[in-house]
Amino acid sequence: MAPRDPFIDTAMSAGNYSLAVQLIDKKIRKYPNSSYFYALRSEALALQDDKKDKALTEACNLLNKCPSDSDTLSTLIRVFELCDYEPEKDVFEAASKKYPSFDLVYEWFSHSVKNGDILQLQKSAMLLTKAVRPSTLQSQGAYSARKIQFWAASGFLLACKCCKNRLSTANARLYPMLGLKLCQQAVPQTAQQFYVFCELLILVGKHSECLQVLEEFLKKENDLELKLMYLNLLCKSEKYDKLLTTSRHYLVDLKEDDWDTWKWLLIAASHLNRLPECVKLIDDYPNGRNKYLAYLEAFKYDSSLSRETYLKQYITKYGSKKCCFLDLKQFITRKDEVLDKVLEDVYESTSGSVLGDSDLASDDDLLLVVNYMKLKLYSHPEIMHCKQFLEQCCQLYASSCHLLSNLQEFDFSASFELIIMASQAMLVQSTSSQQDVYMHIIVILESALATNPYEFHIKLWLIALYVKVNLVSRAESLFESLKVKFVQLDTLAHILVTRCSSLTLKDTLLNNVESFYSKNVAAEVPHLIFNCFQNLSLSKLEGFFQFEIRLESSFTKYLNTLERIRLCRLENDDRSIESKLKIEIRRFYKIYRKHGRDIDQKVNDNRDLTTFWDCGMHEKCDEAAAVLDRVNPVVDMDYLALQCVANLLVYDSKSALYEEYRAEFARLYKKAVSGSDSTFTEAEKWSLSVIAHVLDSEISIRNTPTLPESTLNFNFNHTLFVMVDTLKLVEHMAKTKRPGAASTKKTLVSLIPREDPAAYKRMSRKDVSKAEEETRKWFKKDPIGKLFNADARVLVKTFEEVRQSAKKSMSALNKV
Amino acid sequence: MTSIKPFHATDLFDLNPINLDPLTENFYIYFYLQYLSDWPTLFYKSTSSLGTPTGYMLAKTEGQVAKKEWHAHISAVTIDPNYRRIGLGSYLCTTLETYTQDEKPYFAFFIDLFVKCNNTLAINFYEKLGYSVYRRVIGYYGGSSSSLKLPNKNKLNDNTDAFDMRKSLKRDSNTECVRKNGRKHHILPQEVGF
Repeated sequence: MAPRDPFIDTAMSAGNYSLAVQLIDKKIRKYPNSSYFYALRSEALALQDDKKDKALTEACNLLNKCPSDSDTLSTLIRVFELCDYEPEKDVFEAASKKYPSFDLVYEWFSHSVKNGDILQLQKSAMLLTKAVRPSTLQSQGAYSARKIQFWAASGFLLACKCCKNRLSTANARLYPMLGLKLCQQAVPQTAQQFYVFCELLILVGKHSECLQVLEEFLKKENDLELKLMYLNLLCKSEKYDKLLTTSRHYLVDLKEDDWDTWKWLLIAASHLNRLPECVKLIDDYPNGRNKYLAYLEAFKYDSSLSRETYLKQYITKYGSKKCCFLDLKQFITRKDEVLDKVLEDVYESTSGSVLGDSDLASDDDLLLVVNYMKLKLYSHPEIMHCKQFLEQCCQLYASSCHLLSNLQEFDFSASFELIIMASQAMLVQSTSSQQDVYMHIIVILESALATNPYEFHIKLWLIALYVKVNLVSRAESLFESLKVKFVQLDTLAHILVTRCSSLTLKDTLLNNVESFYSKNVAAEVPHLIFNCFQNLSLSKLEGFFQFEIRLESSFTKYLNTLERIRLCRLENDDRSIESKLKIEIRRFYKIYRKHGRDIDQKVNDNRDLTTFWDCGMHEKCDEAAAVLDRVNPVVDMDYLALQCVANLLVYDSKSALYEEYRAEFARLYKKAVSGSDSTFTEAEKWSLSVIAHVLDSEISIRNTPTLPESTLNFNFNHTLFVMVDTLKLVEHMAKTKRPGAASTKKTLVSLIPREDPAAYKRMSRKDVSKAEEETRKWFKKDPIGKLFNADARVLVKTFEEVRQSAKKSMSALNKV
Repeated sequence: MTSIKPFHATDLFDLNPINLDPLTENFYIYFYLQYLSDWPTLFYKSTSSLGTPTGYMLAKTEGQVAKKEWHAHISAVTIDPNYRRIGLGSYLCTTLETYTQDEKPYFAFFIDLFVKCNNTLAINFYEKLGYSVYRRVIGYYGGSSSSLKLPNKNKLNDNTDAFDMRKSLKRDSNTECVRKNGRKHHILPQEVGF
């Protein structure tokens, strides 16, 4: 391997590719036999749009010489990516098959792990079993033949499980057999090794043999993974006698009160007509949640049992626990008359203490009524439209307020659910303007947060609402208070990242998210996958690879990149787009265009869209969501794809995929503008129509988006940002001599409102005062508003925050 | 309803309802993955009937058998706020006993954990499960890290001191791994060993 040259690295990272080529040529003269510098030269050429053809020719010539240096091979892979070229054979595969030394094949294996390429991993691990020669085994230490056999067996298993949609029928049959053979040669000893062995036995259809192996192993060691596999397989193989005795053994003899085991017991009993025996077992079992729910599960198989009794029993015992609703949810239905009857009985006896004398209401009473409201709402979701439901939520909340002062630090009260249910009902029932409703709910939730400061659902709702009223800095401070970090950035950042670059130029969060993927994921995950292989923790490998792949191809990762591109564009930082960000969206497109079903053949959406709705009915309330989505709607894969393709059309116009980008843009654009429930804002649709018009003058530009009357509206900053951004996009297209771009640019310049920055600030001050007055009036005079007993101090404090935040939003406008 | 299931790396995507709680720490990815790859059976979760995680246990084994220090250590145990006060924490802890006390695969002498001396709720919880204070680690939670002076073993601070709590398992048949009056036995963090 040739030594790296810091001058070349600097020239490359600074984007001075011509200088880099000159420096590399010097190195080539000095080290004419070093394949690495030839590969690096190709890379420096490939990074220049007008030299891609030359780069590709040189890279292909080098590949034909079959280099075996891993740095050279990695560089060649990057060149082919930049040139949108797919060599017939994987670069590492070709080299490793020609020179199957342990070191080179291990490089191939490592490269596959780093890239989450399971099919290459399978091939490389298999070749590793051959690359290790008996004479070198002793010196290989950590790489014993037996260990590598398990790696290869796991490779086959991973390929069958994670890449099943693109394995040929022959390979889908062959791979498990080969994996099994390797396992048999290596002789499994530990639970982890038996896991691979048994999974492969199942894949080849040797269920009886697998059951026997598992039974023998479980006699010696109580391994959770193998136990679950055993019980599952007994059920699948319809060995109900054995399933019944085994699940009873775990439940009764080993006292493992596990819900899945209860379910297996009841499935087996129902097939064997031995349900009465099981009901007796439940009767005799020590009290516990699973026991009471097992009765309800038994009812699924025997309707002669009394569901009413079981529901009542459960609610009596667990009605004042937070888990009550979630436990019962799967046993109840819409318009559930039996549940209604039970609820009325239980509620009659307890609500008095909550509603009557509030000082007497205890935490248990509060939880019982919260569960009552949740169950009632689930059974009759239409009550969300009733004023009475809203009133009841408010009344119960008010009656339990004294309990909030007893909260221990970091604890939170269940009463927040009443407030969130009331907020959802307000959205559903709202007749006033959206902005007013959002503002009312903000004050209500701020008030709830003041007394229940550690409740995170309230914070999530507030973040979403603050963004909708164009107050992103307050949303940011609430997000910071949640201490979101690491994997949480991937799942939760979307709540703030989505369209954030059309509200503010602040990039702290975007940089944190980017740093998570480039630093934490890239540096930590592959290393730990190697660790998993080394420790032969084989049952965890599938999860590790899925985890890596889902993060590398994450929706949030690319959404974040899009936002960073817009920020750079607004700040005229084309260099960052060209050198870094463009590569990211090219990567997105290459995954996206695969349209596959396997995990590594698609963009994976890891966004947590459920925690936000994880209260009340613990599911998305479509009607409330529709009201929320009228402003800054939640985005989807089509949104991400269309925005990425639009950027690629602008920044990657020399790509071999350019015509494909155009076709995909046209398809997605048509879909975006034709849908009535679009995930695109009016400003975005207009912006896309401008690009569409530049690409095809037949397409007309949509009506210019109008600014909302109030600055306390997401669309205020958003529309202005998007218009300026569109102008910059078109300017960039004009620079690249795109026909029609120059004239479109002129049109756009005249369309963008040019207000004096001070005027925006004046407008904002007026809007905040007006909103404050309206909100105060609503809480004082409106029949619904009065129900909330809004705390005057919270109102003052909230509007102080609103004022500060609005000032920052208007300052952001000055910068564009 | 509760089931105990093995934890997998992809479960990290589903932990928000548990980890957004201010008392639950969010660790670096490598921390979780290290536990999964080094002690695959000691990282498990409780789940609802829909398979969503409702809590998890993160534990490891360490120490020397010869010195009767071979034990399981609870690094983190936490429960979704919706599933608290129903015995789920106890269930996760007793499950750990099941997995670590048998001859195969671990055969540990005891289980231990560290808890802040001012965390009365947690201390009571573990005492009910049969744990007792083995020793008090002065300044364990970083109280004196910036000071050049060695902490004083007799200067107690409930905010920064930790109780090392232990529970003997079957293998510690003579209960040699626990002690009475552990609260009076003070050591410094650097003396912990096992």
